[in-house]
Amino acid sequence: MNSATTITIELYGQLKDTFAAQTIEHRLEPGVPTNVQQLYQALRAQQPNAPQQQQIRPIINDTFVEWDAGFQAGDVIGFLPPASGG
Amino acid sequence: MFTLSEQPIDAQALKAQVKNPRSGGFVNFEGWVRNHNKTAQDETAAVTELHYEAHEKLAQQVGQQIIDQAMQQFDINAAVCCHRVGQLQIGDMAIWVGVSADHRQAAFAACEFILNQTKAQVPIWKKEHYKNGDSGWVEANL
Repeated sequence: MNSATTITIELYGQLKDTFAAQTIEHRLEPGVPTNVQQLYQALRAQQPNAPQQQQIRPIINDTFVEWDAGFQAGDVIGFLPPASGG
Repeated sequence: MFTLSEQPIDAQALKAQVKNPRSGGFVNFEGWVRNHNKTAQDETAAVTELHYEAHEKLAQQVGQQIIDQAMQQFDINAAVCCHRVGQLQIGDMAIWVGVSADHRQAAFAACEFILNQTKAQVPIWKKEHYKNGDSGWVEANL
């Protein structure tokens, strides 16, 4: 896909198994504004057993963002499940 | 300093980083891979190995913020935390935290703070592999 019209979604931890993918290429619909919350809800609609939004921390291009953050073509959006290190 | 390591943790090298002529005490925590899940009762679910993965950039960033916060919040002289990533076997060291301070109280408190915050905040995820062939991502044990 052309990066001018797509974003890359990166999944970590349990989300990788839930979606059976480490990265997903997502085509943006022209003229349809969206934010990371809407994007995650669209993903959860595909896999309802994915963690609820309040358990997830979103990032854009390796930076933590709020759920209402927008993005543009070429961005890399990540969803981080709860940490379980140690 | 906070670091991630794909290689076995060198505790002696980390301890050397915490040594400080002002310090009268040193507190250290080592987390090891255990052979059983904290909730599973079934022998077939015995843990055989662990896999840790991290968002490396953010893990370094958040981990260092925790160290910086500990240095400000507690009366300590040095603090270091190292977390393994990759495939670990039973008994391997997964995390090392060390703190030195003038006096023991601050060292104990800061060591526990760094450990707890690292487990709760640093984007690292743990997957257990079981004797029966199954595997599963582990929820935070806070």
